[in-house]
Amino acid sequence: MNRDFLKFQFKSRKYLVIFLFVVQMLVGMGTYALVYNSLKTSVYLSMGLTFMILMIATTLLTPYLFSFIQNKRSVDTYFSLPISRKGLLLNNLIFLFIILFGSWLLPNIISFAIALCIGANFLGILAYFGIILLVEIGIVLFFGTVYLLANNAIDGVIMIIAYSLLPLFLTLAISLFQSVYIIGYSAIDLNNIFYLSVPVMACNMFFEGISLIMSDYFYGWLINSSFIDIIIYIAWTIFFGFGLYHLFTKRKAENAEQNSNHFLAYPSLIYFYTFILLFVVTYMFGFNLHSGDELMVSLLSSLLAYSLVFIFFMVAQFVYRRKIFISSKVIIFFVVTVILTFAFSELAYTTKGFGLSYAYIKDHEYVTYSYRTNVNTIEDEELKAYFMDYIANNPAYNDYEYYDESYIGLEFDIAMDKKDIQENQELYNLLEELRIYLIEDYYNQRYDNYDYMTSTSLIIYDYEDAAFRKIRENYYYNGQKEADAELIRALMEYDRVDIRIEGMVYSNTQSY
Amino acid sequence: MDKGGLYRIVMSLKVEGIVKKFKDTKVLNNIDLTIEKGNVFGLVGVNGAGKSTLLRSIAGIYKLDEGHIYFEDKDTFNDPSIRKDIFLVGDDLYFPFASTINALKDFYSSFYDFNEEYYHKYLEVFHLDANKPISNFSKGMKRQTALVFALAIRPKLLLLDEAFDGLDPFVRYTFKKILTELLEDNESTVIISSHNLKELENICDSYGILENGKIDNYGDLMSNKANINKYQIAFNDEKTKEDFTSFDLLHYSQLGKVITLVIKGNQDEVVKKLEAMHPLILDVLSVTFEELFIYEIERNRD
Repeated sequence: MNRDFLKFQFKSRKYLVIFLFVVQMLVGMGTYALVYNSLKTSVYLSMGLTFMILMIATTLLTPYLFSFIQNKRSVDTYFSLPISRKGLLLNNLIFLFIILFGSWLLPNIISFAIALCIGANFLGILAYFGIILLVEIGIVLFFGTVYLLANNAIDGVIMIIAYSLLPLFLTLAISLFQSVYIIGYSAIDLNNIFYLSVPVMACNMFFEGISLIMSDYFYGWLINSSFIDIIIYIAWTIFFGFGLYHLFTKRKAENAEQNSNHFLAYPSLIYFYTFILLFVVTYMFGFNLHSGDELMVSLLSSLLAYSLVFIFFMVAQFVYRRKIFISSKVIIFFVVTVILTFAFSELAYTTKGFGLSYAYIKDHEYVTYSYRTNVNTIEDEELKAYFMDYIANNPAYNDYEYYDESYIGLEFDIAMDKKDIQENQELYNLLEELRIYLIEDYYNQRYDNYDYMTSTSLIIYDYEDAAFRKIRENYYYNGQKEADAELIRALMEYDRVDIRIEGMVYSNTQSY
Repeated sequence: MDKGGLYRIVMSLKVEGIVKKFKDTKVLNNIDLTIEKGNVFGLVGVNGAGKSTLLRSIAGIYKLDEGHIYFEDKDTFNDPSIRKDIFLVGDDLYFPFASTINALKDFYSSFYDFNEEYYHKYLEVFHLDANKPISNFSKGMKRQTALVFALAIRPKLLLLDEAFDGLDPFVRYTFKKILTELLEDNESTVIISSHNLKELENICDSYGILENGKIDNYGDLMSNKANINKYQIAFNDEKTKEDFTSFDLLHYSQLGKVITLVIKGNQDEVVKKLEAMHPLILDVLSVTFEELFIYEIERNRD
């Protein structure tokens, strides 16, 4: 590191430094002047706003400070200097860190002092400080690394956006896949994928940190927290630290202003994003197909979506190569990916979500069932008579009038603990039969035009505690077809199954 | 190939078997070059020959694919400390946005041993305002600014890429004078690349012609020039190029009966051989550096 150069960096950017400090001070201290809420609220607001400005400034200044490496002329000047690449990197990081973290720290030291005066936890404040320090280091290294994957400034910004949004797109794609092809079981905890995004983790850690300041929560947090998010964030920080070091010190000066062809830049991102988008389109195509649409109808309705993805793919290639690029390789990739995603989706459907739809915790400690369905009684007079008799003999419906005798809307909720299950094994078996029925129904049915807008859902929550608060697992089954009437009749025989009926009857006090 | 006086004991810059590729193109192809201390070396070549690439490689900017470049026995890429004695004035100059000369002085003085006295002296010589934004300067003034810093830093190895580009004749003259002072006071080694060979001719001790990634033709300028001469000759009978195959012919042209030959070789011996062919007239003319360059390139391409 070169100390004189560091002084020069401050001197040459003094207006930027002053601006940053002034903005942080104005915003950080302004909350105390403008907010008429309690001092505690002002402290939180000040910390929140200064953190937000810190993140914005980091997002803008990190690529700005490293932009010299993307320009042919400036990179020649800097790389010819009598300083090692490592030293140059260190100079830039230290300068960046001082102005970003320093400008954040100034108003927050005042806020910390105020917080202490109104009863804040000193150790909580220290923990918050440490968390923000860690967050800032991680974010700078993350942005620096992905920015340097590119060879020019515009691509660098695109890399930052693409890599920040990547976990989100991945989460959405997997979420869609799960919702369409794996009924019931959440095979992958999507929160974990989404929260792997460094910017998202940074925000989560901020909220976790700020909650430690004004409460006794700190000691509980210290004892009970697994710190897994902090550990993961530290791992990311180390990873991106190595990444930035490698990309900067091994950087070739002649790459400045060239196409960004690092394999982790456009070459990977374009194909990865296209793959995700094609997966999403193929889910919809496959879902339409399995919902009863004819092949050609499904294909045509998905054609627009496939075309849009192809346009995205070609535009991305253009942005990458800065020229219109059509090659047989590119076309083949696209077609093969369409086929592969479709084949994968078909496989998923045929294997009922790779068997994951049947994955289920049967050893319940505490479980609730929430069921809702419609039963069509148009063609089944016996069933219709059964329900009308049920209604007639049930005092709860004394004030109800008949509305539509051809269908029933039913719902019930059941809560059971382990003892209940053992004592009501037949009922439990019926509920299990209902669950399996819905799985089979979902994958085996082709839904033709149906007369009524039907929907069936079964939501099962498995809990850890007797208060039914801490969810261990949850399962969601849905279907378009109406329920098995016989199964419903069997369930209705049990007193524990408190069926609420709609559709066939409505209350005098309801209006439609 | 005449290496002239390049095998003296004091070697400043040593280029050993360097190869530099850009994607699949070999821009520098196994170059070996040695330049002695205090020498002014003119690096010439056609457009795209790789002159700037060579200079940037010497300055430690480009990592070589093969080979090494040593200045005073230190690798210029791997040893950043030696770059304190090397300064490159590139063809495409960089000045941070809205910077002034004084602001840049702080930048360079944080890395180099900066001589304030020379700095102020050359600011005056070039009539540059140190407090005005450099972005408002003309092309020539920007180049003068870069030269001010180069001269104030007093590097032991000065690399000038397109040194005279944008400079008016008076400034060129002034700069050459200053360069001479630098060479005398500092024993600096200078490598200049320029298309203006007339300017180089006056100041270079040695030269190298870079073509197809190689320097096959380099050496002492004066002795090489002395070894290449232009002969204007006329004969009674018809002569063709085949009649002169016994000579090391760089150029042949004919206008009527007058033949112009550029021949490499000892002048006295060449004259003797030509006179043996009984010409009607025979004139010997010296070649300029520019002509030497053109004829060498022509021959390589034939």
